[in-house]
Amino acid sequence: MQLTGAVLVLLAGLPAAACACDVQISTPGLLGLSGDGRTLSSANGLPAIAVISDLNLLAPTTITISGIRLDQAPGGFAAPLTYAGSYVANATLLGTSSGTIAPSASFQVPAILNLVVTLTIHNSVTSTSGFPQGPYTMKTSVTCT
Amino acid sequence: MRWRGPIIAGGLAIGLALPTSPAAAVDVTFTGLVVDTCSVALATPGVMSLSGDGKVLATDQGGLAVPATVTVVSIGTNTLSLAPPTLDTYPAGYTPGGETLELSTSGLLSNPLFTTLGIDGIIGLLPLTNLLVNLRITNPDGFEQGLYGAHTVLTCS
Repeated sequence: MQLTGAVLVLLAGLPAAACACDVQISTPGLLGLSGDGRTLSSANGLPAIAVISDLNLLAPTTITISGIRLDQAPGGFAAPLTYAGSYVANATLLGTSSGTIAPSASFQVPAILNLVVTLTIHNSVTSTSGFPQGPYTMKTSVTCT
Repeated sequence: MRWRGPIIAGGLAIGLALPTSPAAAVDVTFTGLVVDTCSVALATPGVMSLSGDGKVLATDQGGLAVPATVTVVSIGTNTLSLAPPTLDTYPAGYTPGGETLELSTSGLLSNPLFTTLGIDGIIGLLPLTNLLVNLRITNPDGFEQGLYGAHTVLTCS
């Protein structure tokens, strides 16, 4: 009886848990210029941190990091650019995983109750002609399906 | 990608045919501010020597004469400016006013023709690079014996 009760409670909670996949940015990244002026990178600033929770309980969740891009740059800046990125994923029950992003990276997280994945992301953009003065914004998309 | 660490298999893994999770997508933002920086340093001062006719003191006449060497490092876009040169020191017997001071540059900024005006140039991303500055003082009345000194002000901003 006790076991049956537990299963019923669990199944009752499944629809809500199965239909959510939440990605929150806890810390946006900060870019810094390298000493030679050619690379703008979070390695010279701060990485972005994303927290992924409410994962699918019925099947593994695929987390994809993609689309590294320069979203804002000073006017007239159109130099050829090279993008790069890396990530480190931490989950309490699973340990650590890491990889490079460019052009994209994806990995699966098993269906585990209350699993939270913390994603630390680095982005960088390199321009052989350097970066004119002004504000720059880079973006990367994190998707969980 | 593989997880590295203790994988605990005691979690919930259920294969029931219930609705799957919808996709969630979020853009992660990185911001940065690039501020132009430029640094200059005088590597070696210039040395002037007197021409054969005694009317020109200049750094480009060979012998002991050498141009001044300035090292420049630039990040972003900067303007390098050399002000018109001025005569600073001269012997007691010399009366200033009849001379003409001129500049020319080579290396980082190529302005081989001497000019009494200043010299400006826009520079971009630049590792440590040499700028050679030549200075010439011309006086049709010649120069008294003694030590002469002149300078130009170089700014990078």
